[in-house]
Amino acid sequence: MDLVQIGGSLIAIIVLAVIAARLFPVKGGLTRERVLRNVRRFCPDIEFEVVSAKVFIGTKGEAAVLLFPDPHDGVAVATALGDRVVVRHIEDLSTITASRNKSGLTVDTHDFTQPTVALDLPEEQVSDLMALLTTEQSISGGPLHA
Amino acid sequence: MLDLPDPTQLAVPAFVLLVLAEIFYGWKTGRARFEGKDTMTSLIMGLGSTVSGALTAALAIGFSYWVWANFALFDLGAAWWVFVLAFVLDDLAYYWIHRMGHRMRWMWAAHVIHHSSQHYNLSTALRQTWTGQFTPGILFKMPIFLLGVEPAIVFFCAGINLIYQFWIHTEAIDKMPRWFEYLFNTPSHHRVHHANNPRYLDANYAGVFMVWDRMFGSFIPEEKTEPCRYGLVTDLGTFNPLRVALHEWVGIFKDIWHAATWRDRMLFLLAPPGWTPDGSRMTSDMIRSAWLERNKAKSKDPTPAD
Ligand SMILES: [Zn+2]
Ligand SMILES: [Zn+2]
Repeated sequence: MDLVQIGGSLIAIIVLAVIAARLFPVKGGLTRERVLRNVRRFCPDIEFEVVSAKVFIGTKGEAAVLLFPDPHDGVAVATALGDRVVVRHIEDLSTITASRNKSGLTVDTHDFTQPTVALDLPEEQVSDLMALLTTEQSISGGPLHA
Repeated sequence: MLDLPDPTQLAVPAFVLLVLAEIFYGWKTGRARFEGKDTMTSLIMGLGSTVSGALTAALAIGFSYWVWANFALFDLGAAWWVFVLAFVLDDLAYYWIHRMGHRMRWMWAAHVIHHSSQHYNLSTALRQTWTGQFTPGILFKMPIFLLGVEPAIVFFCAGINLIYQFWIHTEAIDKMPRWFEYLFNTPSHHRVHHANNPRYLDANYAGVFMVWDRMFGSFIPEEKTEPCRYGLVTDLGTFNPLRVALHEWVGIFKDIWHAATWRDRMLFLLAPPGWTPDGSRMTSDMIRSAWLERNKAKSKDPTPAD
């Protein structure tokens, strides 16, 4: 395989990806319903009342943090990846770092497969979520396995 | 050394045209779905796989020829029937390489790439590993060289096998005729293989001939009542090709680094993906039994009268 073949392949790849992106535009980000549906799928063993789950969704629908009603279940972080949803369940909150950024909140799960998750949130929600995560952190403080 | 072409390289222009055709077909009919970044990542992984394959091919070729030249039991030559025999035996070897690719974390580290898209279309077929040569996969082909089939013939057949597997990565085809579904790997069988629904985990490892799954007990048919959901049990949260290519190797390295004993270190490499000494993560067997338990519990629940 020579450089011309690699160059030609790269051009073909870009053309195909652009056509795919044009013909299949990503519509809509995360909604409460979408987050709950995906968290239920990803964490089938956690039973919880939908109404009691606190869900913080970024204003662009790019990511969300769900707090399970039982603090011992921890949180779920959902991100919109293209037109699909990726979920991580974090039982032990001491393993993540939440910090404020310019337009909201950044959650770092320290996971090679899930780079830092940034949520655009109104200020009062940032404060709420930070407070909740901090409270949860002080409740848990370590692995939460029974 | 027999000079045979690399069939997959020759097929690349056809792959490109067929992906394009499926994009338009999906756009017109809704029977195939794409997403720009996902398509881009799949195709970059395909290109990277070709490049890394070319860079490391000498290792596999050298080793295979050394085994064949020194230890082959027979000299089978290069008659047409040797190609047919090689194709069938290589497909059997592929079945076991693929099965171990799902059941041994070392081999999964390379194969996981192919399963890392949440989409299932012709571009997914091209989402291939960059690190296949760093696994013991080639050892499964040794019996064929020992029998006396020249490695070039086996590699040629493996190329044809890979080309066959391209067209089955589609949702556009529902089912093939019954006899074909029985004998060969098809879009329906391979959709099950790419699904992460607990019901479908670790099934349908076939390359071309479905008979191996039926023979070795790993066949699961696609159920109309349970549509396939594609991707990994824990999907990747990134399209970055480097992270896609290396994530499981990074995971293995971290686990081995933090392991307490040599036994654990070895099992982090050789046990199924998801294995941990304390059971804190889930293997596919654990996910499946948890799913069966949940289903049992649900069926015991008294149905509310109305
Ligand atoms: Zn596979
Ligand atoms: Zn496949």
